[in-house]
Parts: sequence; structure tokens; C-alpha cells
Amino acid sequence: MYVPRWFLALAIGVLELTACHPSAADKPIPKKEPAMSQEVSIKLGELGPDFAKRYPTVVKVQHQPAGVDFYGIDWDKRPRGVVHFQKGNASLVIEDVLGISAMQDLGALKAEGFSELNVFAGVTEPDLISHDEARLKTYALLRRLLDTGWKSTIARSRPRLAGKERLAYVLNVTNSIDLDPSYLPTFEEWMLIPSHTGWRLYADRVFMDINFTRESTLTDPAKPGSYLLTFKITSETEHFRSYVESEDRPRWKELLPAILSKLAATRAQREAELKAKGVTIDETYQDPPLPKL
Amino acid sequence: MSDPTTVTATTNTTPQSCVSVQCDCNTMWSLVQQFSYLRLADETGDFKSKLVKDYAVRARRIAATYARFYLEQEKGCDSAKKGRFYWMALGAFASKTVACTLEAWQVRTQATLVSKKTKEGLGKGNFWLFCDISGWHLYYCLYPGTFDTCVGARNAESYVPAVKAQMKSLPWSAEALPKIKNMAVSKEIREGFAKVKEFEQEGDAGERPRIQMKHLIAVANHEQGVILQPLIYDDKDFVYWIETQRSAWVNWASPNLELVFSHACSTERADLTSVAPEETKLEDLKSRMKWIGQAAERFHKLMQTQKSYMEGELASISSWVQLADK
Repeated sequence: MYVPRWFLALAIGVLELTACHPSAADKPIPKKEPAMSQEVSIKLGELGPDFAKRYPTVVKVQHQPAGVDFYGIDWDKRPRGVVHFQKGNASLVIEDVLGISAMQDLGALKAEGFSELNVFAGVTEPDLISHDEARLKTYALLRRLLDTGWKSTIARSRPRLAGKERLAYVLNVTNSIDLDPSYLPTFEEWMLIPSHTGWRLYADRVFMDINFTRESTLTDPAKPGSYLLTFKITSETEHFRSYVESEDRPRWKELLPAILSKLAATRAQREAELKAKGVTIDETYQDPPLPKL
Repeated sequence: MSDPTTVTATTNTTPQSCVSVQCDCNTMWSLVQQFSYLRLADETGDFKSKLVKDYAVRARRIAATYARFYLEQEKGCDSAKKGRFYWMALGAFASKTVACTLEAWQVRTQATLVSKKTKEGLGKGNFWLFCDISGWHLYYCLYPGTFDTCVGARNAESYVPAVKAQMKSLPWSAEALPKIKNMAVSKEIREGFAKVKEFEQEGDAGERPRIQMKHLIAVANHEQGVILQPLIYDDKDFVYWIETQRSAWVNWASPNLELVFSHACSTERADLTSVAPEETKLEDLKSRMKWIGQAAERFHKLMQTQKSYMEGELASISSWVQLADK
């Protein structure tokens, strides 16, 4: 029996469903009656203790002597979790969640609350999945995100490459540049993409890295594999703060302009080298807006 | 005339005379491999050394060595390149946790079946992981020019006779060496060191952490899948005891298996520290990937945002490098 979403929401008290719902269009129909999933809402900027108060029976807190607490929920057993990330036009729902984790600073940045969230989810519910289904389902998810306002982004020091050119760069130069979410690779290409490669997106001043882990012992294209998606959702402040060296984080605003110039120069140099080899640069690409400094 | 380890030359009257010897990859790997067991041994005179007996002391010396690699303090390291051996920082905290676990058991449940079985598993895994992983890093530091040429040639069966014999005399060697394929290169090691090179060449501070993370995951996959899985996780008895340690009914007697990023053994606020979830099932692949991924992400977050604290702790750990045997 398929359990309607409104019933799940009422059952655990999540009444405020998000307006943007990328996963709703292609909701998988369970083959058998599912156990009730646990729905959790989470947002950037929320203080850890407040989050724990909302879900007191499931949130685990791990203190680290570095002066931070990690807040997390694990769904290692089925039913898995359903996570509602709430942030205006960047809101989204992530299903088949195995765990979430967020850091709460206990020092100078305490008031910022969660500045980065990690969500670990399956592509589909079963542990095993055909590699081709993983490819198609992952790119269907990316397509839904693009259709609901998320935009693809490229690191500012990396060349502006799109589609197959970007894939070629990943396969031949480095998978530290991320893939183009709008380019669906062929099955053969998909199997060549290394595990832990990903996509970078942004919307409404929120940045999101998605990458996939492919179980390393199950890589025969003709046999099922196992995949995990990791969503890293980062606030604008934390995103740009990470442009500077760790020790300079407190004065990131002061240092950012000079760093941006340097990154632009690096990109220009990398693009010039590629152009000389006949690679097409995506001149239409626009970087995300800069924060107010 | 020379063989891989000796060279014969005629004496002469010229000061500082040198004679060249052509080393092949097997000789180079033999030179590097000696480091791992000498680090875990105490000199007894006459060019002899004795392996330290206590598993926890070994684990602390291993943790110290990992920390020294991360901090670029080992021979051939370069402080300007600090951060490239990112797994080593995680490995230092992990080996410290192994030491803490062993020490806790020594106090609480010494000589029981539970502690003996798990102690052997942890001791064996930690020792042979160190023999393997320290070698790749030391070779890269000492002989970067030939690393790519020789990386695929490592094979404990092909070491020069003296080193090969020494390897055979190390604890668990008859069982361990075949299981870990005589420390042959894996695709994960190749990938991990490709990321080390990429880190060295990347000028964008915002991108270096991503490269570090990919390096970390590659080496962690090697550690988990190529070394520890065949060596100890496939041992049904060891898995049973580890699962038992995690289960609630013996939790009161089990040490905290969770990584605490400190040189000390436990957090100040133990009330807030959760243990590894008892429901974690290693046979569930996604769950296992999540468990490793989450641990890596938390470590990564601390290294990026609390770097001076983390490096201070690693510096404390590095001081155990010659810790006395018990």
C-alpha cells in the first residue's frame, strides 16, 4: 500500500511542506507496504540544540574537543529517513536518507548555527541497483533540481567547460572539477567516471555539492552495484569563507577580493591552454553572485 | 661487481671517493620497507633491534609516525607541502583510538576471550596496515623521481634476501602477507598518490581541500578494502566480537570505538559522546559507505575549520614516536 505524503507528514508532525519539491515528480512506488519513514526538516542557520529539541529521540550529539558538536541522525535500518531542506527557492526533499550530519561551533561562530549540512542518501531504496539505473535515476534527480531553479556552478579557478568537454576533463585531467549536471553521460561514460566525482549547484544563495560513491567491490557493468549520494549544503558565508586558508577564516571578507582576482587569472590561464588545444570554452557561463562584503 | 644490496670497489687514496650502484625497484622498496619495522623496534646494540611487544605501544608509535608524515617531519618530507598526506592525519587519530581501546581492555577485561580475540585482530590490522601504508609514503618522500616507475613493482616476495627474511619473521606474516597480496599496489593507492601530486600543484586554497578529500577517500578505501577487509574483517570471529562490542548489552564494558580528534583517549564531555551505532550493519553496503563517508566528512570539517587545534593535537601525538615498551 502506498502511504500518501500528507499522511506521513501528519504522522510525525511535519506540517510545513516545501513549495519546491524536486523529488515529487518521479516518486517511486514501493513494491510492498513500506514501514513509515521518518521525516525531518532541517535548515541552515539553525542552532544545534534547537534542532535536537525538535527531534529529541533520534538526534545524536557527538562532542569533539576541538570545540564543536556534531549533530546527526542515522537511519542505518529501514525505514530510511526523508529530509526536508528548507530555504526559500532552494528548498528540496531528499528521500532514502541514511544519515544527516551538521556541525555546531561552540566558539566564535556559535551564533551561526549550522553553516553546512551533510545528507547521505541512496539513489533508490534497495541496497543493490543496476549501474544503468543508478545513472538514470541520479541524472533524473539532477534534472529535477535544474528544473526547479538550481544552477550548475564551476569553481572559479577551473575552466568553464560544459557537457562532453567537462566530462573529458574529468576523465583525462582531474575529477576535482565537477561534472555538468545537464549532460547525461552514456552508460559507457558513466562507468568510466570515478567514484566520488560530483556536481556543484547553487540556488538562492545556497551552495550544494552532490557526489556519488560507487561501492568499489561491485564495478562489473553487467552486474548490480551499490551507490550512495552525498549532499553537502553550504551557506553563502561558509562557501566563500572556504576560499581562504584555514588560519585566515576570521578575515575572509578582507582577503576575498584579492583571492577572486587570483582565481580569475588561474581560470584564464587554464582556459587559454585548453583553447590552444581546440577545446571549447563555455563563454555563456556566469559565476554565482558574490556575497555582500 | 654488485648485487642489489652490496657493492665491491677497490680502495684508493682519494678522499671522499664514491662508487655508484644501480638499484632496481626491488632494492628501493627493500630500503623503504625497513623503516616500518625499525620504527616499531628498539635497538639492542650490535646493529640489532627488538620489536616492541606491547600492542598499544606499537599503536602509539604508529600514530606518531602517521602524525609525523602529515606534519612533514619524516625523512625526505617537505614542510612547504604540508597537507598533501591528508590520510595520515586521520590515520594518526585512528591508531591513537586503537591504542586507547587496547589500553582500556588491558585494564578492564584482560585475558578474557573477548579481549584476546579482538586484541589480536586490532593488533594485527594496525601492524600490517602500517607496514603497507608507511612504505608508499616514505618512498614518495625519499625518492619522488622514481615513485611512478617503481610504484607498480612493490612485492614483499621480491625484496632483497635480508629484508625478505626479516618480513617473514614479523608477527602474523605467514597469514598476513598473502592476504594483503604482498603489499602490491592497488588502484586506490595509485589514485591516492595522483591526488597528492595534484595537491602539490594546486594554487587555489579553496580547491585544495577537495583534492585532500579525494586523496583521503582513495587511501581509506585501500586501507579498508585491500588491507583490513581480507586481513581481519573477513575473520568471522573478529567481526563477531567487534559487533558484540558495539551492542548495547556489553556497552558498559566496551571502550568507545568512536574517533575522538584529540591526543587524549576520551572527550571531556563524555555525556555528549555517542558510540558507534549498534544498528550499523557492515553487510549493508550503503550503510557502510555512509559510515565511512560521515567519519571522513567530520574529520575533514575539523581539519578545515579547526586546523590549528587539529595540528596541535597531531604534534602531541607525534611525540610518542619512541615511546618505551611495557
